[in-house]
Amino acid sequence: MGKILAARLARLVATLFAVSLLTFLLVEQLPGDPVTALLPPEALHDLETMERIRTELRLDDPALVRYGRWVTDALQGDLGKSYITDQRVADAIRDRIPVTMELALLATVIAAVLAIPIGAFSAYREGGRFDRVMSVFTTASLSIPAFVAAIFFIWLFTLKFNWLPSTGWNRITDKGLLANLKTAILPASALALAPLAINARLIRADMIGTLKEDYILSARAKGLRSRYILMRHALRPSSLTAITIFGLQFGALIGGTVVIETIFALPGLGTRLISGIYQRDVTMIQGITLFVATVYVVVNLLVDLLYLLLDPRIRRQ
Amino acid sequence: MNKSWLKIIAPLFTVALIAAACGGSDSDSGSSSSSDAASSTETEAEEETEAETTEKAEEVIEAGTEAEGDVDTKVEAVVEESSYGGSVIIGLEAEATGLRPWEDACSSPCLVMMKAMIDTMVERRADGTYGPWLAKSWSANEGYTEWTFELQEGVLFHNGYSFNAKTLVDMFELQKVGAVAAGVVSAAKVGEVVAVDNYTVKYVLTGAHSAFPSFLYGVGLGGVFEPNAANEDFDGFSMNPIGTGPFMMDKRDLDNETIVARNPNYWMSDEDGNQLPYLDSVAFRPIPDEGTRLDSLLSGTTTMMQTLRQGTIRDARAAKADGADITLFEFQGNNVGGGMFNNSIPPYDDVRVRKGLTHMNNQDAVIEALGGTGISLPGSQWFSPDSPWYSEKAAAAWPKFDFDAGKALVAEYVNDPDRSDGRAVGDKIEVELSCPPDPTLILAIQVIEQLWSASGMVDVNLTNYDQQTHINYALGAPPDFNGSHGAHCWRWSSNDDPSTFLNTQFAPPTLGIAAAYGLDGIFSPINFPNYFDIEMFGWLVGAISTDVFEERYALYEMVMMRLARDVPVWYSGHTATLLAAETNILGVNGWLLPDGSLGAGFPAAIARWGQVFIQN
Repeated sequence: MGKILAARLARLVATLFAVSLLTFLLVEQLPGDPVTALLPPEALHDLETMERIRTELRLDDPALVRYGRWVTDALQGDLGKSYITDQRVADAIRDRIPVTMELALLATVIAAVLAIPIGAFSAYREGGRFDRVMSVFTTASLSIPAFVAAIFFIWLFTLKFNWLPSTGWNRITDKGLLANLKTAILPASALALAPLAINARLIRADMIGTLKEDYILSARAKGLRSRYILMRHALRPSSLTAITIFGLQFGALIGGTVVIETIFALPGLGTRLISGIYQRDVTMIQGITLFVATVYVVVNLLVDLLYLLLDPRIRRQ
Repeated sequence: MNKSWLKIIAPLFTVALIAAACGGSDSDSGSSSSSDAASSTETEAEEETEAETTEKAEEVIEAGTEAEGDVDTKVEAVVEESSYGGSVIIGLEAEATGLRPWEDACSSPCLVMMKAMIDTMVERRADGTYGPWLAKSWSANEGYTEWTFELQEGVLFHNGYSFNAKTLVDMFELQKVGAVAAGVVSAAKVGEVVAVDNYTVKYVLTGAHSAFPSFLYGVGLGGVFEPNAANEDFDGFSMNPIGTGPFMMDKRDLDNETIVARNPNYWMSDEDGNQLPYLDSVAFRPIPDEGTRLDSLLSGTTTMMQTLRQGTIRDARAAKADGADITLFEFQGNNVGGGMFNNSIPPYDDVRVRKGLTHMNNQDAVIEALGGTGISLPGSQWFSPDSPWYSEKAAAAWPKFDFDAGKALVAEYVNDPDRSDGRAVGDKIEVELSCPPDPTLILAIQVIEQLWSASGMVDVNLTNYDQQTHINYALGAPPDFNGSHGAHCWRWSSNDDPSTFLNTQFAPPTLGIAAAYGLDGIFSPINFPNYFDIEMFGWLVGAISTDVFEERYALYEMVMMRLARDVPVWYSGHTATLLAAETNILGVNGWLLPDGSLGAGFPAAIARWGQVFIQN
């Protein structure tokens, strides 16, 4: 177990190093100069100021020197300061991660809560009307990009029914849980559609196999109720794949909220990352990318470990 | 539910809720100091203002800032009864990257926010002239090198400090080195700021500038901030700016919501003596997606919105026609879309190519592709027909859509054995046509591409890069700053005094060109088209050496005529902008200057909040 953990951790560090280097190199390839992004076009005639800013930001140093400096600082927990806003990158992440995390978690929860019964019941009624309807629903959910779903939800729940706000974010600390959920539910639902469909299909497929096992037939022969059999005897062995996928999806959702945050104008990491890209805010892009990558690989690691805990056969291997 | 599922989901959900709860509501930044300073008068002011109403003058002035079509608002004095209280929630195009007037680049959405907290020295009137704001009056010496301003007295900053001449002297120390203000300082040629007495300040310029007060309209040099607070917390000022404006920072939650609250000590009153502002607060919400921003207004999530996109204006008009209870404050100023040719490289260095391509450009079709038909007026110069600087003569001289004439001009170049691109006679010219990747801009350049290609003499290579890269390609790199662009989408002009943009944009583009004309050291990297005409430059310099409008008009007319002759740039349509609001929000279009003259309204969708009110 210890060896497995050490190997995974080493891989994690290597992955993060590669991500940071690639991000840096990619941003370096962008044409132009961050200094010009700091200034309005009409101020670009002031070469003296442009030169002073370049020197202050140490942009004259060779790329590798700047990368080395950034990595050294990052290892000490200092992700630097935004070129554009002067805000510390760590502060920007700290301020925005609650929004992105909540969205990702809420989407995961919505997907899980709906996918389990849909998958289980579809398997139980394999080929039946419910199964066919759900098959259409999951196919549609997978085909519709989250941003299209988002626009549809805004049209339906905001413009038509006026039940929920289309934009803005109520922080729990300011306005309480209910007000917060009111602003979170639409974007989270839009995000949840694809994972919901994937998980419902996975659970359905796994359960169809499980329901053909002898011990299920035996349970049926004992006269146990269908719901009890499904939830108690069939779901648990059918859930390993789903657990893995939920974990991976959660990591992906952290990065995947970018578009949704932009559409719903939410103050999350995605919105900040997009602004950073538009503004050539190199330190902000690097900091947020590294953070998202860290969350992704850590969640992956946790899922792997969970797998080890849940399935003794893997531990023994 | 199965317990193992609960075991997994419950901790995850708990972590999310804890994270959400612990996360900053981003500084309620505070202005604790400002609140403290203001608290003694707050209750008093509230009592005074409670249920107070006032009748407004019934004067209606048509300022002629309308776009074409079904526009229902004009810049005009408000006739409705104003009242105190209430809040406005406005959806903005983007978040302000910072709110330090001297340091942070500030475009339209940022200015909507900044103008609530930061007053400027002068303001613009509906007729295009500059009038008093924090500066009561001004005068210049004979050579326009020294400008003396008399300041309003009894003005307090949000933190309780007084505004006086020394404030401007101290501000100048920061402006001289400010990332944004330093460029304005050099363009305006400000050498020194001197406090003559407590409420008189003198700007000493290093060269003549007869339109100098126009620089004090912009927030870069004219935005008045509290220098002590800025020096004490340079970075923090960005989140909590201290000005003399009608509202003070209440809460700044970046990328989510910024709320400004009524400044009870604001120095301005309306013409009946009622203290401004009327509103209790204004909330600014950045909503980058155009459709969602409009939907937010239509659903009541917000009560106002801004847009600079013709397509959104079209959608807002449609929503209104469908019965939406909104007012559309449309403004069409000088700002004109279009593009430029890089005059320093072939084939654009030949006027036959530039003029030919412009003749082949169907302006109406381009405006339609941009979604601006009936919204955006076709451009023929840097001034819209409503501008006092507009020239009929220049409009007539502009090469309008005439495909055959354009084809003939390009053919002349193509068949010229001495053509500048060095290609064989009869070979097509190669044009790189580039725009930022906005869907409507792409449609527009596709229209141009089809027209140019249809001539059979032009190979068009369409490219698009994000906004910043697009600018960087046009800017280029030292020492020449020639850029690597060809035919490049761009916007021209503004509603400011023409000198503020024309003099820098048509100065010598390189040091070499400057030296060749004996203008050593006078060069401008933001001469993006790399076009220089010594005679035209002389007219531009002449226009800042006189303050006689007719003389200046004649010079700018000659400049526009020269641009129509040499075609270094081309135009599509003037950019209409929109502030849309629930119908009970009034005062957006009818604010007054301290001398009672009518303000410029809502140019570039930038509202002035001090006189906005909600009708009971």
